[in-house]
Amino acid sequence: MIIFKHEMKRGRRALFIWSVAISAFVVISLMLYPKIERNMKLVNSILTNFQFLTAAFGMFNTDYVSMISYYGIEAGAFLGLGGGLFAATTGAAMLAKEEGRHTAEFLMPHPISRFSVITQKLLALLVQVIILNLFVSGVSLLAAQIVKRPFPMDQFAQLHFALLLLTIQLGLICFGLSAFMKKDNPVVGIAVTLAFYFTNIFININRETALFKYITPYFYADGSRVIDGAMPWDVISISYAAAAVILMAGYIKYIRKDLAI
Amino acid sequence: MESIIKTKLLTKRYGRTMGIDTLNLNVEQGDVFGFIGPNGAGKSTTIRVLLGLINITSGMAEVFGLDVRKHRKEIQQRIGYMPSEASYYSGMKVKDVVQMSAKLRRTNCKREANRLFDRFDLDENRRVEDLSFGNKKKVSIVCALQHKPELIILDEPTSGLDPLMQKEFWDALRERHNAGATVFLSSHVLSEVQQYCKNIAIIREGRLVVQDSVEALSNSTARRVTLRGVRHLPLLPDGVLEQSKMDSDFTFLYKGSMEDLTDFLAAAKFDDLYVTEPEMEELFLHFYAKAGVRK
Repeated sequence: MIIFKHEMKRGRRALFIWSVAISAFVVISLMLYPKIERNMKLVNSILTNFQFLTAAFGMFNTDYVSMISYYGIEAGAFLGLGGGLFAATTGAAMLAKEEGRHTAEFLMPHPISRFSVITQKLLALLVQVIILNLFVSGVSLLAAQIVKRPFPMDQFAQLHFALLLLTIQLGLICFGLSAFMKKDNPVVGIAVTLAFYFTNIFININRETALFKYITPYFYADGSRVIDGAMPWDVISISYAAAAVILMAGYIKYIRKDLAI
Repeated sequence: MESIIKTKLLTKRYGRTMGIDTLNLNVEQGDVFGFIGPNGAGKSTTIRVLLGLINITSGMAEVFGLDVRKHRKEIQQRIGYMPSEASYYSGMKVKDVVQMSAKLRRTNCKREANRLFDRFDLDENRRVEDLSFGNKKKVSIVCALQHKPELIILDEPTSGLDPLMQKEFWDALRERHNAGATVFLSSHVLSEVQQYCKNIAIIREGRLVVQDSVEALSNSTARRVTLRGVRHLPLLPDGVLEQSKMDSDFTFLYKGSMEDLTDFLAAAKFDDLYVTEPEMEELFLHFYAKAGVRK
């Protein structure tokens, strides 16, 4: 597990910065909640007049401003997008950086199989993504206690589970793509994340594009859907199957490829 | 003698570009083998094939009698490799890089690593990104030698090292060789290859030009003939590989029959004559001349 430990060590600073930054945004938004709650009627009427916009961000209910609904939108934006960007950019760099930064010529002549290299790196990515999710959800629970508006735990857990699946899926896809790249390029991770994010917005605006729900993980992790109903396991299964295919292709490519040194 | 490295018709293509072309190499156990060629000749490509970093297009390559395609891990366990330009993970200290290398080999080489740090005057607590090219090279040397491998593969090993360190490096290598290690090194510094290697192979545009012992190549029938104060020069005999004239001096590299040469000298008028063994460099240039390529 040398490579796993090595990746964890090298990624700790970025993990800390992303975790703290996302948590800070979530905490700030939760601190603002009591004020919003006091003006609930006004907020409701404003949001009702902007249904196109509210639909785009998955605010389909009239209960816009219950603590958990509010949190679902905020967490969806900060953890969904921020955490997604972290997972995607980290995943996209994980394999490609060895060739891009020429460290492959140090690492790969050692007696370690490429399968082991890729698996340990994947494990490091997954653990980092899980730590980020746990950190943000822990800080959120703490912030909710401070503003004295505790979350209904079942809804909170389901929302964070969906966000965890979302970030892991983005990480897996970009990790698989990383095997095909010769240099680590953060643009790949950013592009994949934003493409999925905006696909979900299009689905929310135009229901005829609902078929794309199988493509974007932001669909099943959308706060309003997760909080109000059961997890759409059919969508999650198909979506994850696609990610697994990309990951497997990445494995095959990396094991067979000529290393660009 | 057992073959440690053996390639047969080894070919590597990068799309339409040829990396190495039907290369036949044989390096025996206990050899110090020099692999010579200019940049882009295919030296590093051959080394990367042997290390399993890149795939073979056709032909075969074996190290320790094991196919490099099937036994990459077993082969790498017994090799120490030093790349021509080493890159390490930024932020790591020298000792961390060396320790990581040892851990990846599942060995504890701390004692030997410390000995090599002292020998090569390397500060183990410096961060790798702060090291000069030469010091990075020293880190590579430590990583390549600390586990006392059976086969040491070195790609342009002395570039970037100052003369004192070069000497230290060759001394360390000689010690390992005396202890039984086989050394395979690529270089374009002919003098060091001539001084330290037993056998050499010259590669050009991915193809083997010649493989022989340094001694045999140096003692080849080729001779450098220099005539001083030339007054009359008859028709040159067959076997003149390369010639030049300056004022009244005439010099040529000759590889032909001695009878033809003596006939030529008898007919020529000159004040003085020198016949010397050609330098390795001359042979190298000779083999690199298109006409001299052996296929």
